[in-house]
Amino acid sequence: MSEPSVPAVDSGSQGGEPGIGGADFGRFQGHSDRDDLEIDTEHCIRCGLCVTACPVFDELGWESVTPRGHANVINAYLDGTLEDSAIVGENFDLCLKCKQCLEPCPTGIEIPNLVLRGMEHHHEENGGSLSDLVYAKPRLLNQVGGFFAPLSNVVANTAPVRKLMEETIGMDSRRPLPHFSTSSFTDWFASHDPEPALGDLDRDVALYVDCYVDRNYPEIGKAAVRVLERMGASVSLADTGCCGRAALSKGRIDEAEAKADAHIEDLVSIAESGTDVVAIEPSCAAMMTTEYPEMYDSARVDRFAERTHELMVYLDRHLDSIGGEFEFDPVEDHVAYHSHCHMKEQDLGPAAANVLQRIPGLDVDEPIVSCCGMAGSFGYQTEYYDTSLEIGENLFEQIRESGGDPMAIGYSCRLQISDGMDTEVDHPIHVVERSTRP
Amino acid sequence: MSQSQPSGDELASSLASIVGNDDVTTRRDELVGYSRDAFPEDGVLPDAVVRVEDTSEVQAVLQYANERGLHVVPRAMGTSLTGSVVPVEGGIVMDMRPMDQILELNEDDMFARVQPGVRWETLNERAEEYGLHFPVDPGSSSVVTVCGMIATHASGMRAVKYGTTGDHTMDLEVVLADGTTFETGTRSIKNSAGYDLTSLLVGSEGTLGVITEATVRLTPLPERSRTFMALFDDLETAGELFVDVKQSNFDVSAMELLDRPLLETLQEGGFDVPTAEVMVLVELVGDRAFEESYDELTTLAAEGGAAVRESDDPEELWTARRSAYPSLVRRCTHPITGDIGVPISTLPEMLRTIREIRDEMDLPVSVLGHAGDGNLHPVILASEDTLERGKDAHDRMCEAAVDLGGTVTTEHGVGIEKNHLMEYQYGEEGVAVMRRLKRALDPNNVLNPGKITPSEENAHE
Repeated sequence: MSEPSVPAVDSGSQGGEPGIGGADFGRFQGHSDRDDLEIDTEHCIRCGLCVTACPVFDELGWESVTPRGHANVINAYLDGTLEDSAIVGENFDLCLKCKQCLEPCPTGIEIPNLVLRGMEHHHEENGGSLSDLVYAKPRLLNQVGGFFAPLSNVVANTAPVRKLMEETIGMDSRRPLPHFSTSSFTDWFASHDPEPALGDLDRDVALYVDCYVDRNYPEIGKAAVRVLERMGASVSLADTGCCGRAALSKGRIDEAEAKADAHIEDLVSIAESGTDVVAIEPSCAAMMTTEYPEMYDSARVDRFAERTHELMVYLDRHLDSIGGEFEFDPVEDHVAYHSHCHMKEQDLGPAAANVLQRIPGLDVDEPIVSCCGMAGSFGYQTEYYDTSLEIGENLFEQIRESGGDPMAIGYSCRLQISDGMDTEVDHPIHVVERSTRP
Repeated sequence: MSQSQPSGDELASSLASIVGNDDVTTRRDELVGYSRDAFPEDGVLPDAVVRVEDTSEVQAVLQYANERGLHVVPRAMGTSLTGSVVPVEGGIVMDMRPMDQILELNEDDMFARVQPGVRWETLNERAEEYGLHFPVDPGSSSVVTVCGMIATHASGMRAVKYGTTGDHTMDLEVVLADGTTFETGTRSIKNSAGYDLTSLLVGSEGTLGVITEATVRLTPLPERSRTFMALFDDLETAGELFVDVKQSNFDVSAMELLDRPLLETLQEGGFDVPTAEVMVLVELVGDRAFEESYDELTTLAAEGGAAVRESDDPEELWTARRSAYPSLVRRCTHPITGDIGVPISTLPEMLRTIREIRDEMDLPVSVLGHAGDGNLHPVILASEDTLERGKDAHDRMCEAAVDLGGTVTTEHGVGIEKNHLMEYQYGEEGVAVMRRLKRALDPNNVLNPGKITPSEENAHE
């Protein structure tokens, strides 16, 4: 008997039962009511073990921006101690949702998810901002920009347009915009000739088409396809729609749930057909592997999540067992590789570096930082642009000391490093592609 | 108090003239954060928060506050379990975290000079490069500051061998409420020159002066260590083991007690700990004749009724032990954390008394503790409905500890949680002497009022 289809996310209350000590306090479970959220914040025991893990605290040094501080602010907001809507909104913005506070938390509370739920209530009571509405829809923006490319690149970067964007949606005019490509990744894929299979990775892989790869970074997608095909995989695309990460990170939980609902059945079906799902963007991968299982109480979604990986994690998992003629040619180079906070949170941080270290001649340094400070749209916003770069300075300094060419797997991270250091930043898949040319 | 209280804007402006605009705030989200610490009950919102970067700023802020009778609460990581760093009457919170430099680490004389924002972990990372450590080991060691430990006289799991923070505090630079700044000690191992002002300031919770620098003693890292579990059928028999070990000459560095409810909680949390009525986790350190000592100690435990087991993964056990407190308190909404200490020989009796109080008052109580030095943490898992009963039970346990020659708090400090118990421990005269000391050093009651002795008693006519 086939299993039932995945139901839409239940928007009813799912908060932890007070006083019982269940394992799910503060975990992202979709929409929750006010009382549940208040109870969850009260299970933060304020021990402070999270404080030193927070990159924002590391830069700003004030108590309110610590993970514990956010829990206190949510609690004070809900009980009426803290009524100033602007202050509450800013406090919520200053959590980057990088999740570096999860590991040290002895009670297992996910403060970033409490903040998201706090943001949701804040939106409901104060109205969401235009900028949040826009930032939550990267796919739409990039499709429009891509459609009008190359004109859109010229127009979007003119001073009057940047000024308009700054004044309407708070996008800082100093922050470079992603480039819109005249050709799309999906068009390229439809007509591309598969690479010769050098390895014997006899697996079906569906490469997830995220909101950026199609019209902003098609070359990364192409490199990913080529490498996977050389490994021996049969590659298709999972062009199922936005995962909802951007909306979620703005506390627009209903919108994130709707985006997830719109494609979860497609994704699950792909996985159930025996195909692995591979995502290039770590935040999207983390959305599907850690948030979806909590949003859906479904064994099917759990199994889908188990078959889903970030690209470099996927490579790292399979390179050991791969046979045939797939091997790395020497690349005499020196790189400074920055991982992604959502990968580190899942103990997957070293995966890309593991892959790079297989390449003969390649010298790999790994800066030790918790987060680059970009955090999706955070670093675009006028009021946080300077803070974002100040948080990133620790990373920039370590890359300078390394002397290696900067590399990162996250779109935001690359943009941040590029802007902060005025340099080009590659995705590591490009080196892997160079090293594995037939 | 020689001047009227400034308005919020005046206060912020005056403080900004001392510490700079970027280091003073009256934003309400900050005030909320600085009104709370790890004690479950909230304090009162302060009027302003300042971050200080050197001793001269501390002096200037205190002089300003002293002239106006404003309260000042010094604070660093805010990990107090007793409300030691939450304001009870508004005023200024002074965040010491920007003063975070290790000023000196002397390998030959084995000491370090630190500012108040230096964390335990940071100091130990540096000390380890020289084969040394600051061995006092509180549960919050990953974030707590060394000076915060001094201010609350913290200790932790390894006090059984290394003693308390006070035992490792050699000298302090202290700023009084009127800005007077002085040194309390020396760098000599021994010092019999006059009053021991260092000891007076240790555990004073910022009520007498603000610590701006501290010299702490370091010790060599042990060459070897080995951990075993001693499992008992009842608490009292386990208690006898502590007496036996204390009377022997083993180099035991930690001896931790975990009861059945706690072990079950840890098992639910995924930790690989055994099922037993009581587990005692014992760590032996040393170098010469280590194996012989280990064999003798485990034999002693077995003869005392324990089932002795050695773990393949002692780190996992110590991680479980460190997780014990948070694992427990998340099981309830209103935890009450006891911190009593008794003479080792009375541990079995104290454990019996805790059980009797638990049964009489019908409350869930779990016991953990650094029992090797007579320190027990009975944790009362209260709810909103049983909170008052829980507080009564806690008071009874504290009074029982005092009756056995012990103390109401061994390492968490007094804060706002236990100040009502001070008279029971020291009597009216003892507390009166403390008040006289406080008045002598802080006549305007500027520094962290309401802590150690109750606020209303601390007020000045």
